[in-house]
Amino acid sequence: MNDEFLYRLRKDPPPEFAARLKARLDLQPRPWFATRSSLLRSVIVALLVGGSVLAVTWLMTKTERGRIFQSLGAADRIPASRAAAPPPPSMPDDGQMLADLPPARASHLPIPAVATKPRERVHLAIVSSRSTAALASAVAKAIAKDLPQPQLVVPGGTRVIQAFCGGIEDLLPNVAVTTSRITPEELAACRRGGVRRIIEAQLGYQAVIVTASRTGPSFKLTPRDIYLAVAKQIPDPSDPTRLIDNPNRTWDQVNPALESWRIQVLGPRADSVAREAFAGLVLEAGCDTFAWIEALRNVDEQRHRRICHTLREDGAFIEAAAPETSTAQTLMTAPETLAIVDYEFYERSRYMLAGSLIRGIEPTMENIASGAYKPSRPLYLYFNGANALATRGAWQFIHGVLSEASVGPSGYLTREGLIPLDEAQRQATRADVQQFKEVTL
Amino acid sequence: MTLDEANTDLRMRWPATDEVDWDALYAEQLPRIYNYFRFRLGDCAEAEDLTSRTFEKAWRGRTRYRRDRAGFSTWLYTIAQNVGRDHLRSRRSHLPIDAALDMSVEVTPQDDMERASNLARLAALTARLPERERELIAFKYGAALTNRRIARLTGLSESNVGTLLHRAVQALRSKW
Repeated sequence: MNDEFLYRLRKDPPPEFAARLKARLDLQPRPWFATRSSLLRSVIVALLVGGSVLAVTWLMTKTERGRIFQSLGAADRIPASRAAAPPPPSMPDDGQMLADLPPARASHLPIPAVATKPRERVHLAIVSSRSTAALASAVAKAIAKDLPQPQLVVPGGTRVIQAFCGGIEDLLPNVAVTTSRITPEELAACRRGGVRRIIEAQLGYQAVIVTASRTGPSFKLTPRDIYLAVAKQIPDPSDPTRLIDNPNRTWDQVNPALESWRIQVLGPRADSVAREAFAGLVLEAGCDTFAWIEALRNVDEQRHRRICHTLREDGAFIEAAAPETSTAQTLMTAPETLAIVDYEFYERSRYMLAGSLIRGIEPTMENIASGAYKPSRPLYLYFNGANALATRGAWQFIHGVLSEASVGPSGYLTREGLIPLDEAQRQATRADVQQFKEVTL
Repeated sequence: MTLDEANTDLRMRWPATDEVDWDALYAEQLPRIYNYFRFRLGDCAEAEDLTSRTFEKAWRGRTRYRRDRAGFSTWLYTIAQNVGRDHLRSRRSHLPIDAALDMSVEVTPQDDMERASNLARLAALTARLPERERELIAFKYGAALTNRRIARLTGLSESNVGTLLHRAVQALRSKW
């Protein structure tokens, strides 16, 4: 063994890995948007933006729309993945809509006044919740090969619709991807703020399933049990307003009604779509059973998130690096292990699993769609009908998201945990989007 | 030009944060970070995962980077060190499960088999070395950094780095 031998052990990263990571990194905002600009730069930018964007936006909306319609008509010059993306048939005149926008008025929601024309963008900007950011990235990566890289903004918390309608930083997003359906109050506030033509498309569902091997534990758990088993810190049983390091080693310590199996939970890795879903759908439901923690949601969201989402690092919770192979293997070899899995894995491996361990209703497609199975939620896409065609890449993105290659039963989003709608629902959604049918609640 | 000189050259050419050639930086640093983790862990799948985490963290924090405080690549390696340490800390507490996972047989192309086998063997041997030496091995042969650069990253003197590496390689050779 010598230096040469050791250096020879190096190898280049697999090209597909390098490309995948690069695409994800490219979706992060460029530093320009977040760096503190100098006063001079601010003044110049303000002058340039304030003085010319109105005219530029007007020109771009006119020319871009014409260009998109032209290119969509020339199918032979369009990649196959987008050749079937027809323009919506009854698009209102963009210029007219923009001219009609009323001045910003006070709203009941904390949505900032919309500076309409100056903040319209000619490149696609997507606002997404944390739990849907990977989905949005996957679509952008799939469709954006010869388009400008879209901006993906993740405002966190529940501010996706507010950011969509009111803008965030210097962006006025064209598209929002979120797990919460727009509320009547938000819709009214958006309209008051000037975003008047909002189109909604449901993409599918997310669901989290807690399961084990057939030879493992068969007890039923509540979200509170799961939170008390895997959270890094939990309320002190003798003084529930104080947090202590999680002392629970066995399930009967969590809840005396449970059996004395060792706590060992295999779950998705941090920063993954599945982890966000697990935290949002199960852990938060568990930790919000403590009233003071739930109250934090409105006063100190960061702390609430920290308490509910931070998991043990002492071996009771294990991050699964490659769920497809290692989860099944681990459940077979370590039967006391519980696993957090997505619906697709659960359905495919049902024969070797003990079923859902979350007390209550089984995670069938019907129960997920109706909302009866609680650890599940729908996924929605919203876009601004007033600028969907005026913004380069926006319509391609919307079409890409709703294509069979994306949200169909074998679509690439299913690999990110998406549970597809049935075929009739998918077709109905596409028809509504095609007609720019406004959301109604 | 050595890899490290190229790296220094790249940093010299960075005029300011918002003018950094991020594509060039990515192309230059990806193989280094990836191999740093391969040497730390002896496992390609984990190395990919940790490489992704490192770059994503670094990219998210690009705006906080200031040239006058440290080179961006130094900052990148600091993130990699932390990501690696966190991972190893959590992996150590999961030994029974990891042992079960080791049952899987990774099928690699023939050309990679020997290299993968040697790397796994090296990882098993370096696991017996002190943490500091393991880090030095990964920086030297994985990330292909010079002793001077490693010294800057670890806070050791350059001669100390050389001595420790020499001893570590001798120890590995004796058990190979």
